[in-house]
Amino acid sequence: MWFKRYFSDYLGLWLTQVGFAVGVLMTPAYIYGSQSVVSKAGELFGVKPAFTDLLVFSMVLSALLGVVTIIIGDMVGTLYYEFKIAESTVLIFEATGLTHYIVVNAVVRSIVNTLLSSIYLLPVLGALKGASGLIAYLVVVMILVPAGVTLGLLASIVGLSVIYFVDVRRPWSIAQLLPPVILASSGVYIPVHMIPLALRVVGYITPVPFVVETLQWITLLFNESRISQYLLFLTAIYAVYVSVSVLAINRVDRVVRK
Amino acid sequence: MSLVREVRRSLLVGYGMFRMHLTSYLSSTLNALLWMTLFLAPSVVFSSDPLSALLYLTPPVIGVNIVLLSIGLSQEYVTWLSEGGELDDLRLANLTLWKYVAATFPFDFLVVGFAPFLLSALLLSWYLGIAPTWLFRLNAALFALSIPVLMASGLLMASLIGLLYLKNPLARAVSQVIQILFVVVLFLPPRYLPEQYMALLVPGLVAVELLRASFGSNTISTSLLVSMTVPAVISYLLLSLLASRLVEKHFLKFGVETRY
Repeated sequence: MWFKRYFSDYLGLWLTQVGFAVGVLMTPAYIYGSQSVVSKAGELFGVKPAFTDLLVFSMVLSALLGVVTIIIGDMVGTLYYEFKIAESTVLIFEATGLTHYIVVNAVVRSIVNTLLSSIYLLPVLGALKGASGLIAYLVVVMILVPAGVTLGLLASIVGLSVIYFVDVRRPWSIAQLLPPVILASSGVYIPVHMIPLALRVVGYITPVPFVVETLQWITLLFNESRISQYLLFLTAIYAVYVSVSVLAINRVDRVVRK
Repeated sequence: MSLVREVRRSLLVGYGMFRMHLTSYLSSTLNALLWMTLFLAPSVVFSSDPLSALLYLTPPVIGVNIVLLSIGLSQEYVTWLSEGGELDDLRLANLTLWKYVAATFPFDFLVVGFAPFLLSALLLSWYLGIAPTWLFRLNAALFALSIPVLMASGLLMASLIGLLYLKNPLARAVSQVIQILFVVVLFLPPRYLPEQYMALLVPGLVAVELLRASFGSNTISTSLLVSMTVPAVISYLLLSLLASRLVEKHFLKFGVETRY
């Protein structure tokens, strides 16, 4: 039902993601030739990739565009609808707690959204890398789903604070501004250390820069021992984010009850 | 004398429209800036010569933003504005679609065109550690020459898209495809053209090439570009006047309905 209703939106999103992935590589390749792009990227990341590897790399990282945009938009939109338009606050307080409702909402919706917004990778990776592309897809989804859940929790905090503590006439303008801020400050296609520090600090509020780094290494050096290190590191980061956001939502619950 | 009064009046109207749009302009400017950075930073980083890539890819920001904004303005005029009754006020003040887009152009050029270009140029230079002194290479004469061409192409796109919206129920999807095509065509240096004068066929391409030429990164030769400005401005203006006449005829015959 859900998928069918928003299918055209998702189609536009997948097209945008593929467009970004192709455009980022093809624009310099068109101006300077593809060989220079390969050598420059190899210089930046310290590996020697083929052009298909780079294409896989940019395609996988484009999935983050969809994950961040869709999850933040959907979270803030849903919470705004529930608390401002449908006014189901009292209903939620009677049935469960705010914390429970928000956490379940964030987790379930984010998982569905993450899977749907990155499913375009399945045919793309299958076409580019064959059977090993499917394994790569599973690994990427394994990393993206917890990232989506943490982002969903963070977005619920932002959404609640926008709804209750900020008085803006068009709250969705804030929700629209957040994804590009997060994405531009984590760089997505370029090494994270190249971004100016002031922007990077903004990005580190979310788990996105860590996910970007891990995905960059996984797609460029598949079958390496360093991947397990990165995964361990990422798990620790996820744990920190989840606990922080659950604590924050608990606080919101208390404030709202008063 | 009456021409001077007309210009003063439309500047005043443009300022009023600009005040009306201000919040959405600011948020969309910031939004466009960050998305552009997300796209342009990796493309510049992956090129073998970052400075020349900056010169190729940042000037089109002005052209793309102006063309997309004109499309948005005409879309607003023929679909949304009728809902709150603003359209009636505008039409009582004798503001047709053409005059509406023309009156808002001076302020739009500064805020939606030039400011994101300057900011993205500074931001990208900061990203890449290039000194932003390349901005001083600007050839002011060519830059100034590009402004009327940009205005004429914006007017042409606005009236054509307005006509499309009035005549075609599927216009929203079609205009999205057109917008994507424009972004692609205007960002790439026009080496794909079999003949250079064919740049006249795409409204905005001559203006974007002039902007590139003012930084010395043009593909079409400068003398040809300068000689193309006069036919470009005249033909775009004539075509846009024709299209806006058709829009007026449609308004008089059928009125407007609010659509989204």
